Formats: sequence, C-alpha cells, structure tokens
Amino acid sequence: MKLDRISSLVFFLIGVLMIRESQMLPYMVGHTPGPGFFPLWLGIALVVLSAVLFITTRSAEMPFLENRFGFRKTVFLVALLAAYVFSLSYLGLLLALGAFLAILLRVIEGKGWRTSVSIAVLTSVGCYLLFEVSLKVPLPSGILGI
Amino acid sequence: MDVVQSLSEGFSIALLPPNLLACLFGVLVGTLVGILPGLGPAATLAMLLPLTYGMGATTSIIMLAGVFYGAKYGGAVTSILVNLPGEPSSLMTCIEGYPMAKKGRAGPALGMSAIASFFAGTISVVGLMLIAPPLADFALSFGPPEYFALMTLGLTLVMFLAGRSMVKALIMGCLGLMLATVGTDTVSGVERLTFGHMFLMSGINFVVVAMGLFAISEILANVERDMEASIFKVPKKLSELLPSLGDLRESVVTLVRSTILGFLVGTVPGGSPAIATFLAYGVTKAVARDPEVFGTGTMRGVAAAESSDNAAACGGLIPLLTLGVPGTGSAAILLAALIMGGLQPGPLLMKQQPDFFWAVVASMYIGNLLLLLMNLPLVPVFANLLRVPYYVLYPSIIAITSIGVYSVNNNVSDVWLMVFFGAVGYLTKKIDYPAAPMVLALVLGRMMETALRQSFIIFDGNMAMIVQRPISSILLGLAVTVLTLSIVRGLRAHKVVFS
Repeated sequence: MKLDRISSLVFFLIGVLMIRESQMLPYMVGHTPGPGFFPLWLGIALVVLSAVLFITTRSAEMPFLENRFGFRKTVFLVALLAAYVFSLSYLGLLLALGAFLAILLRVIEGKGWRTSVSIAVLTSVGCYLLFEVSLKVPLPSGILGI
Repeated sequence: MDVVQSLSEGFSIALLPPNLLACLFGVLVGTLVGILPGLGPAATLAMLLPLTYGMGATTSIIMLAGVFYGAKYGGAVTSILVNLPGEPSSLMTCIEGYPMAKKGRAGPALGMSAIASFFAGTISVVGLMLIAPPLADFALSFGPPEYFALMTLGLTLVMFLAGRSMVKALIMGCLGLMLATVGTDTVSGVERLTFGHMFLMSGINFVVVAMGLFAISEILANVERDMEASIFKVPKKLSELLPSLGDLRESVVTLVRSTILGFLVGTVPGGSPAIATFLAYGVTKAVARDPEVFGTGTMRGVAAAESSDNAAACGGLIPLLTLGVPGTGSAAILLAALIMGGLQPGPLLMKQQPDFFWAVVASMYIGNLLLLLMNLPLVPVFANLLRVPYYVLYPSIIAITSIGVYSVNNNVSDVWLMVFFGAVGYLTKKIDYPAAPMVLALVLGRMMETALRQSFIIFDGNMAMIVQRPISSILLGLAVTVLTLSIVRGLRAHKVVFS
C-alpha cells in the first residue's frame, strides 16, 4: 500500500469537491472577490498539491498496521467515544461519562471492575462537582435532568 | 525623571493591601483558567466583572489584568504536559513543549515558560510605560491590506513548520484554510460548506479542532502503542527539574527578539496574540543554525512561544489604555470595567488619570513577579503529575476536553467534531502529515480572507495599490521571501532524494 499515494488521491477528491462547491457561490461581486473566490482557489491549490504529491511520492511502504492489537484498541476507543458523545444528550454528562470511563477502563485497559468503576465514579463526580456546581458551567443534561 | 517618579507613585498605590490582594486573586484565578481548557480568559473576565462593581476602577483593573496575563502562564502547563492548547496562542508551546515533556524534560520546559513569560511581561510593561502613545499611532495605521499582509507572513512562516515534506504541510494548510471557510461568510453573509447544519453556521471553532487534532489524536496514538504506567520519563533530581544555565544562555537572544516581535504585533488591534506567537516561533526557527531540531523539543522554541505570547498580551493593552480601543475580546471586558469604574477611556486617560495608569503599570510588574514566584516552585509539582499512570491520566483528559469543548457553544455537536478531528489527527499522524499547519491555517484563514476582500473593496479592485502602502509592502515582501526560501529548501531536499 503506497499510503502517500492513496492519501494524495483522497485529497485530490476533496479538492475537486471543493471546486464544485465553490461553483455554487458567486466568484466576483463587482470588482471584489465574492464568497466563491477563496474556496475555488483553495480547491485548485489542493488538486495541484495532491497531484504533485502523487507524482513525487516514491516512499517506501509505510508500516500502518504494525501493531494489529493496538490498532484494534484505538478503533474500539473511537467507537466508544462516539457512543459516549451520542449518549450525552440522553444520559447527561454525569452518567454518560461514568459509563464511558468504566467501560473504557474495563475493556480497553483491562482493569478489574472495582478499579474501573471507582476511577470512573471519582472522575465523573469530580468533574460534575468542579464544573457544574462550583464553576457553574452548564454541562449536558440528559432525560433525568442531571 | 518624570517617568520614574510617576512609576514610584504607581507602586505606592499598587502595593496598598486591597490592590495587592486583588492582584494576587487575579493571577491565581488566571493561572487556573489557563490550565482548564475551553474556559478562556475572556469568558472568565466577563464572569468576574460583576465582582468588581464596588471596587473602584484601579482595583478592578488590577484584578482583571492579573487574570488576563495569569492565564498565559497557566495555558503553558497543559500545553506542555498533555498537548492541550487552551488558546490559539498556546499552539507553539504545544508543538515545542510537549515533545520536551515526552523526552523527560517537562520540568525545564515549564520553568522556561515561566521565566520567558516573566521576562516578556516585565519588558513589555517597560515598553508600555515608555512608548505607548507613538506605538498606538503605529497600530492604528494597520488597515485591511496590512492585516492581510501580516497574516500571509504568518501563514508562510507556518510552512517553515513543515516536517520533512513541504507538500504535505501545504496540503494540510490548504485543508485548514478550507475549514476556515465553513460557516457564514463575514463579508457577504452567504452560508458556505454548512450542508444545512445549523451548528456549522458560525464556523468551526478553534478549540474543537485543536483539542481533537492535538489532544485526542495523541491519546489515540498512545493507546495504540499500549502505554504502560507512566509514559513520560520523570526526572528525579531537582537539577533536572528546571532549565539549566546553558538552556538560559542559549535562549537569551530568542527571548529578546520574540518579546519585541510579540509586543509589536500584539499592539495591532484585532490581531490575536496567536499571530505573534506564529511569527516569533517562525522567525526563531528561520534564523536558527539548526532548524531541524525545532519540533522535537527545544528550549528556544518554548522561549519564543511563551515570551511572544505574554508580550503580545501586554501589547494588546496599549490601544486600550492609550486610545480606548480594545484590540481583543478580553480587552473589551477591561474597557467595560474602566467605564464602570467611572473612568473615561481615550487618549486623555494617561494625562487625566495618571494615578490609575501608573498604578496599573506598577501592578503588572508585581503580578508578573508573583506569577514567577508561584509558578517556579510549582514546576516539580506539575512535572510529577506525569507520574500518574497513563490509564488514569488519559480518561481524565478525555473527560475535561469533552467538557471544555461542550462549554464553548453548549452544543454536543462540537464534541462530535472534536472526536472526528481526533480520528483525523490520528490518521494523519500515522501517515506523517503535520497537524500544526492545519490548525494554524484555520486560525488565520478567516481573518485573512476577510482582510483580503476588504482590501479589494478599498482599492476598488486595483490590488496593485497595495505596494503604495509601506507597511503592507514590507510584510508582503517578507512573506514572498520566506515562501521562496522554503520552496528552494524543499526542492533542494528533493534533489537529494532523487539523486
């Protein structure tokens, strides 16, 4: 897998998309650049740059998945993060964070239930007290109102 | 000398117990605010403003100003220890300071940032004292063409942050500029790249991108590497916990240069202190004999970043105190405090209320000294925070960043974005694309585009007139020079690869 070439193709596509988006906006308004000006030139620049990258890349294979196990951990963490953010509106910060941390520590870090839950509870309650109660920074609150 | 007498009178006022206490309170709160991400100094100042109702103008400004520059000291702590930039101006500290922490030199980095901030703060106050009025006139001569030129210079210096591949850095810069176009266009009011999502209408917030791209991606990368216990080498000896004399000696020139640069750029209203840090860091890297070491954790980088940040913060007070023009959001809150205190901000403030002006100046000296005395002993404490096992540390970072990001707009979508950028940052890290140019371009992009279009409107399309304005021509000339040099350097590197 020539990773640099693949990434340059991705960016090439993004550049083309950008150019397309910019066509829907006015390029010039009178004598001055309109909202479509910058996006168009940025898209063109990206297309050119990714082409240059594609051509000049002779990089050796980049070890992307050198650590299969670690990579799986990361993917799981991202999925867990997504679930956490999703649950924020339903559970509110206190519960969502607690659940997230407990699952994270148990599954990803492999700590025992007692350690995971205690750290999770301490951190989420601590954050709740610090931000919501003392600093009065409004935190996401869920269906239960906390 | 008149100045000396006024200053000593100012000290006599600033050292009065209520003012001294206000100063102490201010710098303490400021440091805390700087440490907590997402809670910016402007918001904190706004929250503290009601507290100053009964205090009188002098005391309230002393306290608020303390929060203001105290936050600069605190911001460096999270930047260095966990790669969390609290504000755009902490970005350079992240880039140089965090690698130092990874190498086990968190203590010296923290110490250097405290010393650099103290140095810059003190020198800038001298500048404030002596050359405030002419400097303010200089600052006001900055119009859209000058802003555009300044930002372009900042952006080209960003290219100096290219790791090994110039093209990759440019691509990331392009992407950053694209991100900057998301939202409602400031000049025409049209919505761009929002795809119908309402929360994108005000654009993509820096805090969201920075947290994701720097802090979260770092966590993802570390989790993959399966960090056991504490990942950072924590030094045991006290001598390793502070910058050595050698470190200080090699940084002196950098400190002086970055302070002056930061101070001048910070004076320009509307330009954020971030630009000052980009410029100072870029210049330091450009004139260094060994530019390759920048990015891997150098003292000079941290010194440049922190001193320019503080100097710019102080410079930002100049238009406020001498002309009544607030240059940044925080300065606007200070303006409100001034008015509430019964003072009339404007060109005559210095003359009509010398007691106030010199008391504030004196308290800034005191505040900087207090911060130095507070922060240096705390360096071992902070550095030892890294002893905490990583599996306790990184969940806390996730918790705090998600809260901080949410608090920007009270919108969960921002947290989504942060996670998204975290994933993006992790991927780009794996395929060796530098993240810094993207964030820097995001910060500069909006202002740059607006300035460019405003310049067009002013010149009625005839952009050639930009060379008739001395400041913008000089800045643009510098930008072109830097760009050419970077391209030449990049090409030369490529030739070596091909041959």
